[in-house]
Amino acid sequence: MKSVILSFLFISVLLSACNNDDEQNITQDLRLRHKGADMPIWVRGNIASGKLILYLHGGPGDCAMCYRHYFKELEKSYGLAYWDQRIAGSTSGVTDVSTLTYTQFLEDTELVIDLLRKQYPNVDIYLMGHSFGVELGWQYLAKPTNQAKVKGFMVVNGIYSSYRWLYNMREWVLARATELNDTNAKNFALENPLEQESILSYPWIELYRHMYRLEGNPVSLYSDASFVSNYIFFSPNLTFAQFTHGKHYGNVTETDGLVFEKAYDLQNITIPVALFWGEKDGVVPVAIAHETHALLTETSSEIVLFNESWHEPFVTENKKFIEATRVFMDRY
Amino acid sequence: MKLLFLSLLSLLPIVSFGQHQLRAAYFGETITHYGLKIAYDKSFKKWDKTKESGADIRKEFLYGASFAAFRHPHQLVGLIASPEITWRRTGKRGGLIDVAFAPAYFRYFYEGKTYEYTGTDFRKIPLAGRSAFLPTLSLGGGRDLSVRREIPFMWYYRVNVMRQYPYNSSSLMRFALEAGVIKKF
Repeated sequence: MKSVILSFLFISVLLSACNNDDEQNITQDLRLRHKGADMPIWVRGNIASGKLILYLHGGPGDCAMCYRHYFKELEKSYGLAYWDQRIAGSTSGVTDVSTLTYTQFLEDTELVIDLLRKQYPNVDIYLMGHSFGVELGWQYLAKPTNQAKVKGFMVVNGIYSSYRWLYNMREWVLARATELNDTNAKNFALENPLEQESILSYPWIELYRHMYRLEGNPVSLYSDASFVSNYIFFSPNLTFAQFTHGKHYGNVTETDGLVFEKAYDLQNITIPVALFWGEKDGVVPVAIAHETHALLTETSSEIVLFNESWHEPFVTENKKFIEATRVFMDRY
Repeated sequence: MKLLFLSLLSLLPIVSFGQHQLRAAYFGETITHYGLKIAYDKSFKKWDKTKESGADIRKEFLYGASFAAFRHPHQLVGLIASPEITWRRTGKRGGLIDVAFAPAYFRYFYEGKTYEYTGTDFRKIPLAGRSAFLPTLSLGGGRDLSVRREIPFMWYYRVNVMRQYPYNSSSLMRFALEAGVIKKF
């Protein structure tokens, strides 16, 4: 028994020693309970810089803290807030699926930003949205009063319009299928032209499958051993939580997700915007970056292309991504 | 601490009857999500069988109660209390095979500060967390040291497969490793 107790104490000491480096960077573990969801917001890094980046993760159903592995370098310069959205990542609670709507996701985003502003009244908040997180960002900024609460928005491979997204994905599939002489994918795209009026019945999941098969996003995080070991052993994420909720998003992706449209609102954005884009992405093709840029007529926006990247440039060209983020953050 | 003390107290009446066993073990999802488990077991049905080769085999059912506490840093502190029923086979050299079921109560407390929006402001929730049902199936092995060396201890390990109800909009599969010693009285 004595040896068991001693072993346990030894392990505890060892673990605290392993975590020392991590502990030094901790600022705060926050959680927002709202409409059944207990959503973690982990704030890390250099909050003394006076700048805090709120990472809006993708999906819906991805995670934020799980990507810390790729953003840790940024924490030396700025604070980072990793928020897991309702039922996503390692959010807990008892959540009704009827709350999985774009309206609710926007309300959650507003509350998270208000909570961060209250916690850090002297810190400027910047948004960094990835994929679905970009849709949250545009929704948030579409309200002019919200634009006064954040200093800038970094857009990473995300959309402003469901119609333009599918239009460009179809174009991407057609071009890639022609390049690879894939008649199956090409015929599918040709036989299924996209019309805005019938977007809700468009077979987009099949188009998506063709895009994936044509290597529109061949990167798998799970082939990165250091990411996986960090996720399992050293992140606060619940190991299997990430794989429990996919089935609940059917309704929101088939309805709200297909009628999302913020083209008009982009013309009223006045805060600085950076468009970070993996150029080889088939999920959200680079054409969307150029369209977004053209619509942002009332602010300064810039496109930074990552020509060796697909949907997650912060994974595939991490150093360049960190540098681009620093340039934007230091400029504004 | 109060809950731990009460749980230990609740074990005392059972301990006073007949042959019994106490377990103490490391309990955690991984080495970095660490915890401790203590349990009491009592054999209530057993079959001793001697094979033609002369080897003695014991099969038995045990019932008992357990209490575990673990920490997932920056996420939660979890407390698990449960009755347990175990089937165990002890081989001729003392090798153990265990299968156990525990309809557990799981109470967890979030680390950090939890806030709730009141409609006008944010209110801090003290000791924020949730309760859940955590049915657990365990499979494990070990060795009874009393069989060959007359040492009244066993060492054992278990893999616990747990399902947390409710979790978000459905349930959550959890795994935990358990490894420790059993003292026979």
